Amino acid sequence: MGLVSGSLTFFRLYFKENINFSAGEVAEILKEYSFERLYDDEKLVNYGFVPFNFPAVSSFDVAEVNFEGMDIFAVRMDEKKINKKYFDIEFENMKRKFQEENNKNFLTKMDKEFIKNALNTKLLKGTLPSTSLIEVILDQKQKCIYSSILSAKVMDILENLFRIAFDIAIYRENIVENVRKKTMDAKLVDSLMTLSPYNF
Amino acid sequence: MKLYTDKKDISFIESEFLTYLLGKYYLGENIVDTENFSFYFEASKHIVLFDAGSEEKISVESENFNNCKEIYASLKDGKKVYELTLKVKKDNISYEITFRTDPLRIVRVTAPKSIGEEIYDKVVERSLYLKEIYEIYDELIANFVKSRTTDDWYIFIRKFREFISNI
Repeated sequence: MGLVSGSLTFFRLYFKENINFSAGEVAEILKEYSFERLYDDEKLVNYGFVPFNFPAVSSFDVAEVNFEGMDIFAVRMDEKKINKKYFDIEFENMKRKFQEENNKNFLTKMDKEFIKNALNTKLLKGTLPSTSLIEVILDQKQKCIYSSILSAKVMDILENLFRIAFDIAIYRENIVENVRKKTMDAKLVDSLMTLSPYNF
Repeated sequence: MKLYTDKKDISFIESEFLTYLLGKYYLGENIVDTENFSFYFEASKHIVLFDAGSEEKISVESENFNNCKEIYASLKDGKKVYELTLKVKKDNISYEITFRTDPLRIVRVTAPKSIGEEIYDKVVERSLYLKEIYEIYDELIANFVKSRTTDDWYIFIRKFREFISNI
């Protein structure tokens, strides 16, 4: 699925800022905010840029990014999920053990936080993530981004990544914005905003 | 004292747009010129009609919407289109584009396979298809809004109502 073959379903997002990064600059930015560099083993969700044909090509040092004026790459998102019931059971076990080892009759709020963090770290290290690869096209001239997946979670991730990496605020397209961009006709947009529902 | 102005909700326009596209198809007014190319579209395969009042919804899968009594009956009942697949033909290229409302967006696209052999060529070719698909989308929306905000709308509505009542 995606740009190479299969369904060509991509969602469009806009941004208002003027950007004009060269191919080399884009590659450097993608490298700086790559999945590999942003990865933190103790996070539930990890994300960052990878080359569009990842994992066949894994580094931006060798990846092709500029395709006839369009910047094409991918965002990798790894999400670890810990079963809540299992966590609760292990939490109780650890609390009991902690009390025994430290000869404590009760646990303070700080003790519980410490145990919770230790358990989180232990469980996250042993949990395999669920991975998604989101293909992305950045069209600097048209001030838009095309994304192959667009759930609420993916939108949050793209918003954050593009803000920190390219200093742009992306948002979902809507009919008013589409008409404004396409026609550059403010009067038409004003007329659109005054309409009321019509029965066919 | 009101400290902000509420943005007007015009989300109703989304289902009007898709109903307009279906109407244009039925009326044979389905050839469109963009700045760069011409295309024509057919409504086919998949449609969802909905009546916000009764909350009645019907979903139809068919290769040919011309003989589909269920769609005609729904339109007569005042239902509007909430999801629609268009087959778009441009020169010798065909796309299948599914639009969905709430919010209005493209949710499914079928485009030709790339004839390129190298990955670079495939990506360039398919990304150009994608740009073309969004150009088609923008053109259809702009045409609809231009019609909806002028007297053209009443001409379209009259013809569409005549078409529906004559079935």
